[in-house]
Amino acid sequence: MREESTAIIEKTIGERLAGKYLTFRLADEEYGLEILKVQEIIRMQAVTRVPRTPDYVRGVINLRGKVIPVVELRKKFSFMPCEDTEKTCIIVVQISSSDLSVVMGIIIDEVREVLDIASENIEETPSFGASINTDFILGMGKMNGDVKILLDIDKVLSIKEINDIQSIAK
Amino acid sequence: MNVRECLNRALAHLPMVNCQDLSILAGVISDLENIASNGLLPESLRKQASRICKLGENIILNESAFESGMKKFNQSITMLEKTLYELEQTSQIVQGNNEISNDSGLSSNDLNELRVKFASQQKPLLDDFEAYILDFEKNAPSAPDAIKRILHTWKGEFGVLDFPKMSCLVHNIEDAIENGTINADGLLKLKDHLADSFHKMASGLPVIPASTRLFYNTDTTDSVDYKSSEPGTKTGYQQVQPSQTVQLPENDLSLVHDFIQESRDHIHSAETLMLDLESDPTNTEFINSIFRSFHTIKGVSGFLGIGEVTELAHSLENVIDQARKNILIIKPAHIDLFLHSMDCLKEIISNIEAGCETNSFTIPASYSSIMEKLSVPEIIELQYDITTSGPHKKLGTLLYEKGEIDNVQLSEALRKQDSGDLRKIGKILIEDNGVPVRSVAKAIAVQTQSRITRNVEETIRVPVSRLDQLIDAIGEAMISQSMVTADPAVKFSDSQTLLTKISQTNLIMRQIQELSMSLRMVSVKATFQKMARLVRDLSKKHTKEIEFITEGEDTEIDKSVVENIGDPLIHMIRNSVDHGIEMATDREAAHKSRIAKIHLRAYHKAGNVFIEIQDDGRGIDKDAIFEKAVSKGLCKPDEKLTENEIYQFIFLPGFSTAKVITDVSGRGVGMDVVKRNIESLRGSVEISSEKGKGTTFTIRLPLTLAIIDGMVVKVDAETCIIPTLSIIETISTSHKHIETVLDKGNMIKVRGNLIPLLHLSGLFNNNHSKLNDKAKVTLIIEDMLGRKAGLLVDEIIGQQQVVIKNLGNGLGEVPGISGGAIMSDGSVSLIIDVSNIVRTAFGN
Repeated sequence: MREESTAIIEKTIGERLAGKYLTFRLADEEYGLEILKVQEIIRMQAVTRVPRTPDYVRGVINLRGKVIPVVELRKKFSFMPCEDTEKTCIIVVQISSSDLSVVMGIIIDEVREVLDIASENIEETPSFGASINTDFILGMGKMNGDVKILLDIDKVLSIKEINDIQSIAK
Repeated sequence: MNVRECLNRALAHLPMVNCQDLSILAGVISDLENIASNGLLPESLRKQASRICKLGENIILNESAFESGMKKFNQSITMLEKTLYELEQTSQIVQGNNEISNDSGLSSNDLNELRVKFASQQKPLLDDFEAYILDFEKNAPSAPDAIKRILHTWKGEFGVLDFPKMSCLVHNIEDAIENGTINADGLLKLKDHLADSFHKMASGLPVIPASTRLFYNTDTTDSVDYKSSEPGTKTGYQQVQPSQTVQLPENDLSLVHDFIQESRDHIHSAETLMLDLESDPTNTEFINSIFRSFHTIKGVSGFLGIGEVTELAHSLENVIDQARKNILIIKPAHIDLFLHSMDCLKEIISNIEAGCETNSFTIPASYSSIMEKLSVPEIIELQYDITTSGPHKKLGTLLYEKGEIDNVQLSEALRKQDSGDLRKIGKILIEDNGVPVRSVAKAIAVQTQSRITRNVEETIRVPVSRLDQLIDAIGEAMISQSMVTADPAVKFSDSQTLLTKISQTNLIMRQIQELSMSLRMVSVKATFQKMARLVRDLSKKHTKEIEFITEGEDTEIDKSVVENIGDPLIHMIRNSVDHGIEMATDREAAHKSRIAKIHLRAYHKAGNVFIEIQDDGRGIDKDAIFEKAVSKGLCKPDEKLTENEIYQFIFLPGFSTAKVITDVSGRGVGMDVVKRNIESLRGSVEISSEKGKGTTFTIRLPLTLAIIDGMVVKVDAETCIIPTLSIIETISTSHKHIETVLDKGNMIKVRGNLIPLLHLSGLFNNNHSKLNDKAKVTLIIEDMLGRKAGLLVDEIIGQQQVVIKNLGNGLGEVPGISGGAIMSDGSVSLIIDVSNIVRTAFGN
């Protein structure tokens, strides 16, 4: 009985997450973003620094007349920062929180490909113990022997969090 | 007009053509001419139509025998109809988007759509209506007419939209205005009722019309017999006759229904045109269209054998025909008569509709009196000759009213004109009667002004989102344009023609951008009018006498800002009326005029919009606020606070010095709401008050979407923009100018005054006091409160107009930065929030 119910949950997670993902590299890992969240990919360009913002906010850029904030994912994930390379890109994503939708750019090391991940290749996020929050990970995608971390971008870049940090800075 | 409609009408009229009355044939021909001259139609169809026109003209001119000519004419029209039908099948003809009239009248779906559309568009008219009511209360001479005009429009619309009860209600109110049985209170109640009804209509809910009695003056209610005030009983007419019932000739029911629908459309369009005609009585186009409408009604009703309608339409047609031939000059009195006649006509038609089953219908009681008046239109003209009170006053009338000339002079001058003197009336008066040129010129100015105000601009409704998209796109185009201009390949190009073309495009782009900026701007007029109503109601309630004066109603602010200042204004005005203004007796005791004044002003200054509410009441009791603040533990009793700091307490939630809570204010919620609302618009509120003299609240609002003039400066690697308006001066600075004061950071000495100094790069490093050698220029900036601070930058690059953009929702508000601007090279520069920087400099 118990086994059966777990099977059902596993199946629903796989089915819920199956679909196309844009994969990119950050440090040594590969991550996946739901393709529907991605608006476009642009080349690295000059970013205007904005004072009194969290350190992972690199600044703002001009996206065809609109000013959008750009977040450095390396800093956000507390990785070692590194110099921008030829392959460094900005992925423009749409983040939606409860009532508003926001366009933001995320700086990543390299864009890989668009993958169609079938439901049987998606697994639940393994538990790292109660104290570690893995809410921002949707699940793990297995592809050609690699594991790709599927990100819930809405949770990675929560608008509330940025605003909270700012109000502290005030 | 639709081709189909033209042709159908022509076809409907054909059987009525006989050799005695060629005017029907002329109507048919004019319909065909419409088709022939419609450039949207295929050539073949137009040629065919014009050939038929020729045929018809030959008949009229007696060049071909009537019998044989008509036969040929009939055949050709049938042919034309066939061609049109074929074309429609192959859909070569774009069916005019005439949603209102199709052959079978309105389907219920269309009607609902129309209702919703109508109801959702009434707000501006309601606002006007309210404004006129307030004028009406002040006995402004033009107000009753203006009110009646609006009511009449509504009545017509309600009729078309099939709200007979609402139509009846409005009608009764119209009568009541004429009889003086309704006052401003009643009208305002009506306005609220209508606003509510429109709201319900717009959301598709059923509308329940209120009883007319509700709106009448309470003391005169008894004199109005409510039961008999159905539309037929025109109280304005003396000859009230009992309604009579007439037998309806036997007809095909579907034909009668078509007639009813068609007539309603015609009456509706004629009614609208009437109102236009009132403002432009000599416009032959209006007259002709009205004539055509009545003519059609006459023709069809004659065909159906409804004699009364035919007669009425015929009489109307006769009068208008006289106007068409310039025998009669249309006066507002005529328009009134026409409108009354059309009401009568509409009622007959409604009665016919109701009486279809029983084959009989009632003739309204007003019928005979209208017919009588229509037979002698000149009489009305004479009655109204001098005292016309319409919006379009004659020069002589104006001068007469001003007392510049007397009755004798005027009639003498008019007589001269009649007897062939070709000079204008003003000239006659000046040359022969010695009327001062200045007063004539003044009267002419008044006259033209009233003409101008009657020219209502045509408007179109567009969803705001689409507008925003357009504005965004234009902004993007602007930026790419300036990127093209700044591109080295263009900048250093040898081709003179290329440069000319580019500068031409730049010019046009700037124009487009300015236009796009103005698209979202609306005037604060509607909001101010709402406040006028509020003051009026509140002053009645509190029995305080208040004069409400608005200034700068035409000041334009971004639409979203206008929408959000309504609530704060209501709270502040309530406060002024409830707390600020004293009772009349107290005012007299304080040697002030009994009537209190509240000013509401809006104006542009220094790149901001200011809205001021000024009353001459008792002022704010500083000590009472201070005491209250102490008792609430907000400050210590011995604390020394500035005036402004004390006033800031009243913005705190739950802070009120009122001892009694009234239904208007006193809970201490209002000002809290005001402050929050205005801050969310990035504005600020300031108070200045003098005990016994009055209080002024000043709201400062930014012009959103605005372009600002900015000083582009460089700090380290960053380029920043500082609004030029807040820069007082720039000083070249070296270390010797800078003093360091203990606990206060750096100061700069400007002509003997010490001003706090900040280093702009400190904004980025969070260390304002650290100075480096690169910094060479100090900008002296000033905030809204007039506090000055020095801002140290590396160098000034130049001055430039920039478009303020927010930094994206993702970042929210960044302290010290009011937004970003896209520079000509496509990069983003930050715009410095001066008031925040100054606040930092002063350490709070």
